[in-house]
Amino acid sequence: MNLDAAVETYRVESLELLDVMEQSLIALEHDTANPELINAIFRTAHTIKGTGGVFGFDPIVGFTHQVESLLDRIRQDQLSADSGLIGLLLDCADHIRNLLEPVIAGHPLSGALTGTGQTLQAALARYIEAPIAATATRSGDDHAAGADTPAWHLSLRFDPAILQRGLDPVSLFNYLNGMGTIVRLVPLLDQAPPLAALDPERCFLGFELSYRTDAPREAIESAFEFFREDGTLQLVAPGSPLSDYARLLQTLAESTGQAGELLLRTGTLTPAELERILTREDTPVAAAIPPPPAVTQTRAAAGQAAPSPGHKAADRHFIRIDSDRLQLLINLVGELVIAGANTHLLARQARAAPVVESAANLIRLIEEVRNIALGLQMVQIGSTFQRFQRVVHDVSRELGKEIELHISGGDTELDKSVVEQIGDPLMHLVRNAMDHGIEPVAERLALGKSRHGTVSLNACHDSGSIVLEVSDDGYGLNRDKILARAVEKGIRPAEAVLSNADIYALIFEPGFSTADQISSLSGRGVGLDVVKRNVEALRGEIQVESEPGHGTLIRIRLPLTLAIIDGFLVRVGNERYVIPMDMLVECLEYDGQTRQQSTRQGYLDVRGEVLPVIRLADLFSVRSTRTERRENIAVVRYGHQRAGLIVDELLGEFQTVIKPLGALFSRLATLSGSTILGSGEVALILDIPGLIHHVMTRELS
Amino acid sequence: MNAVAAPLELALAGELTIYSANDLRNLLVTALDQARDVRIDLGEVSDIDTAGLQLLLVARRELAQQGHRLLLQGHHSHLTDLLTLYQLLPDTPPHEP
Repeated sequence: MNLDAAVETYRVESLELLDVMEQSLIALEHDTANPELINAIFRTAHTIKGTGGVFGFDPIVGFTHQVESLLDRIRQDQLSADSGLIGLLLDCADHIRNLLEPVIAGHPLSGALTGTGQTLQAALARYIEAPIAATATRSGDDHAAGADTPAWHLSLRFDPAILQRGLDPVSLFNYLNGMGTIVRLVPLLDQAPPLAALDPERCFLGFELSYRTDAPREAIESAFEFFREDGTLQLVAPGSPLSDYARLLQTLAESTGQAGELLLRTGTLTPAELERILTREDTPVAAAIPPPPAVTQTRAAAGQAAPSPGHKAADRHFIRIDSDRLQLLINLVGELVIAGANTHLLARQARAAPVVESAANLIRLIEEVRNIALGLQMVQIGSTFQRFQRVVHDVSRELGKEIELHISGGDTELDKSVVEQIGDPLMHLVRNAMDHGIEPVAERLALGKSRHGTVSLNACHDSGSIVLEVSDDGYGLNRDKILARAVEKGIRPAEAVLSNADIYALIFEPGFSTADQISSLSGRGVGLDVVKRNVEALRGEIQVESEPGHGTLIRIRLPLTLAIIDGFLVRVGNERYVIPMDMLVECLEYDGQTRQQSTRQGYLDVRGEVLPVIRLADLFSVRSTRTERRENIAVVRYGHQRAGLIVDELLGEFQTVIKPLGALFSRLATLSGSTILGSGEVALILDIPGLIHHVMTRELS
Repeated sequence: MNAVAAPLELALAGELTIYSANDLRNLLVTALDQARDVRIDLGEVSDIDTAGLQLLLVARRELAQQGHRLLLQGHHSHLTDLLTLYQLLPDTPPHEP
């Protein structure tokens, strides 16, 4: 059975819902009366509670129920969402998040967790039980009819496979009974085959229910939420016009012969009402199906028929995929790329034109598959950015500063594994910007700045990398202070001459901190070097820009994906090297004249620009097989810097799967990995940022 | 129609759930071949789910088509609500075992 999968879906969806709740709560702080936000928060709590109830996760249900009650009072304007209340609700969201793992795993709750729960519940209860001023009568009016309210009618159909997925309609009924009373349920057997032909693990039952509850329509619908992909729900509100029932009858009649009798058996309609529908139905209503807008508009408040299945499908475009399976696919596509390249190579060597053509076609298709497969791994950075709203909210309060987070480029996509690993470094930079970057309010006002400090997160694509920027409008870096500290800590000798960029980069050195006061948040001098290490582990790079008095910008440049690169294959002697395609700018001839020039000067004049060059044969101590034939230069670029690599031969474009080098080679700054060529030979992948850095430091020394 | 034949007595035990549904289906198919009322004692049944309830409902439908009845008895009180909900019990509250 797939109960585990269902529970896992619940866990993932709950975490997402909690994110939504958190973001909405923070937005609510600036927009306290926005009913859409309040409703969104209410819905998240309700869904977590509802589906939790389906699985019998009582601690979650019990706690979330309290939260929901409080939210309900906010929704009904009995309470206003001040910042204290929002803070409490944020804590509650955290608590639900913490409950998820142990409750789902079936572990007993730890003492600390239980304690937090009780404290929060007590705080919630104070709000919930606070006296209501003028609104008490209102809810009475809403449900004037009380227990005699005519019941809702629910018409449920399920996908036969639900039982095999570990879902049982019984859990739904139990939940409905918790929220109201199922007056009568009629199981429908008309879809069930004879016993001898019945697959007993599939559900052929349909259900017609009359259901009495004070809960609103959306509460009933959200109880059904978890079954939404596995069935349909039709809902007719109590007191709906008979035309609504007429439509229900019409749809029921399509599947069962005795629709009218069914509604009598559930008690939804009285015989007199049925009579009236049937006598009227024969002419106008039946003819008017599918119903014209006039019918739906008759009682907009009481709600139209439940959303049609088509509508449900439309807002359900996503399927979840196990990331392991995705990884397997991507690995296989990687192997396919290598195998395709091999076929292509063999075909060319055999000089069999039709086979070459066929192989080329194959490679084109593999390339498309590869792009799509990699695209599956791409996620938007936005949700990671959004998570920082909470951090900024909490930390700015803790620091007594007023700080806003500004997010842009949230729709930029990057590899999921990169997103997962970049969260911590970003967190550190954001905290650092808030703690050390932004001035306290009084100081800002004295400087003539706005009260609110701003921390900005930005993401964009730039020449095959993704760029993430964390910036603030605070102090800016103090060049002299950093230099003094670096000398004091012995990181740089006092006499070193450094550019501004070099000095700013010092803040990422181990053991460096200029904070005069150590705060609990970021500064103990153990932080930014970790950020640098993490970013470099992702083959990324950090740059710092700063303007004193105006703020600091930290730019992280990362490769788009870690798995496969488009490479350009070059040969030096008997060795082959791969240059990542997105860093290759152009290829130049290296003939006698330019050769002499570069040997003399160490750089080339390319259309009036200086291009430092490096001979790969020298760098890697490879015996070059160059004859008097011309050599070639591959011009590479990273960021704003360019360099020329002198090679024996240009072999052309080549798609390749990166195989990381072992830990033994981790100190090789100029190589980033290896790959296996179609011929079975190994080629080394050049680490262009490392190479450029190497060239630049050589230039300086 | 053989109305005088005594009901076929079945005593079920354990769980009437999706895990045992195949066995229960086969048992019921055999029972239905007897062309008489079927009385099932649920005294030893600990749990029941929609798969089990569905089989009982379908069995009752087929017995009814033959002109016979399905009678359930002896169930534990914690199953009462569910059997009632699925309309497998007469509307009058069942006799508590």
